[in-house]
Amino acid sequence: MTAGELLDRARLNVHLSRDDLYWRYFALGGSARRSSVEKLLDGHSDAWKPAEVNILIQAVNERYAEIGKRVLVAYVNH
Amino acid sequence: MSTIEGAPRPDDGPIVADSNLADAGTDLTLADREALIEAREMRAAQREIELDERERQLVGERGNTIDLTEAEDDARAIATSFADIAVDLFAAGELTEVMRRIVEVANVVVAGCDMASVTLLEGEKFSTPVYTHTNALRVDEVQYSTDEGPCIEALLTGTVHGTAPGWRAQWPEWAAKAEEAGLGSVLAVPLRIPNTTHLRLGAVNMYSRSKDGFTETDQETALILSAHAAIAAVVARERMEKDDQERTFQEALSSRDVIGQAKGMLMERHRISADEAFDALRRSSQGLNSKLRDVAHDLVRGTGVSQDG
Repeated sequence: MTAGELLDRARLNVHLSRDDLYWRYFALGGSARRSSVEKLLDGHSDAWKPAEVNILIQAVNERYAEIGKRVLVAYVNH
Repeated sequence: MSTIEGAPRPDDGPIVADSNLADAGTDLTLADREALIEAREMRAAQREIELDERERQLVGERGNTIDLTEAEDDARAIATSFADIAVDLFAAGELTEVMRRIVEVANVVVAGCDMASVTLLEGEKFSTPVYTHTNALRVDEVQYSTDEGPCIEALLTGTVHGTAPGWRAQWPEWAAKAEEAGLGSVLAVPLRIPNTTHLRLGAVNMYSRSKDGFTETDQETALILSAHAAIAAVVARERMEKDDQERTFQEALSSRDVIGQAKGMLMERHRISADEAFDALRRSSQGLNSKLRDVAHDLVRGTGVSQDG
């Protein structure tokens, strides 16, 4: 399973739609297009810089904190 | 003096409309004239009979003679009334306001309706956001607790419920509760745009204190109302979604702006890259158990603690 697919699974765990995740990522300063985010979540992560993936992970982790779950998705080293 | 070609002149003598009389000239006897007048009157009477027959064909209701002028007036009044309703519904703005106006209008335009409510489905949950009388709310909620009844059925299937013979037998428990609440009959009409896929938007529920309180005309009026209401509801919902999207976009832009400023400050202060600045904010966010945007905001305001996270 790719990092993107794992992230998509985490997204489902915290009940975020892909649309919600995209807007949270954009609000944190993410610069990828919506279609590119979709591709990443579908398992095609070739074009993604680790720093951009970490912005998406941050969006999911903030959602974990909001709903009171002490689980974090691991960040990518770069 | 100029004259208009073909116009009668004062010396032309009397103008005679009937060609037979005109052709007869002055040689006719009094009896001849009376016979011609009688023939003319017979033709007029025949024309009147033919017009009456045509009128009956136009009205076309089991051969009954209906005053066409009265029917036209009624149709005009209904059309005007629904034109006003359409304007009113579109002016309502928010979805709840549209719904509130729908129940008010249902109470007025559907003759048998004593009280009205709207059923909505959000996720798996039915609710009555608007109603004209608490009894309407009460009997709606009985349906939601038992998961059956005419309003739920109308919403889910997109068809009218409550007026077919034997409807009480279909939901005996609910019908008994409705009667306890003083309601004798129900007309539940789906909020549905004609000739489109049924979207399960909701249902307009109309209740009458009388048994069999709704006529066919009531049902037809309710269907026209529900079509108007469905269009207004869809427009209101789209408007709300658009407003939500704009709000989300503005909030996201504002968040990006403050995070960008904070990253810029860290990059300048510590001679680091943009990605490293983001990582520093991220670590601070985790350490302080705060959202990254709030950490950035504090940093920009000068109250944040951030050296290297």
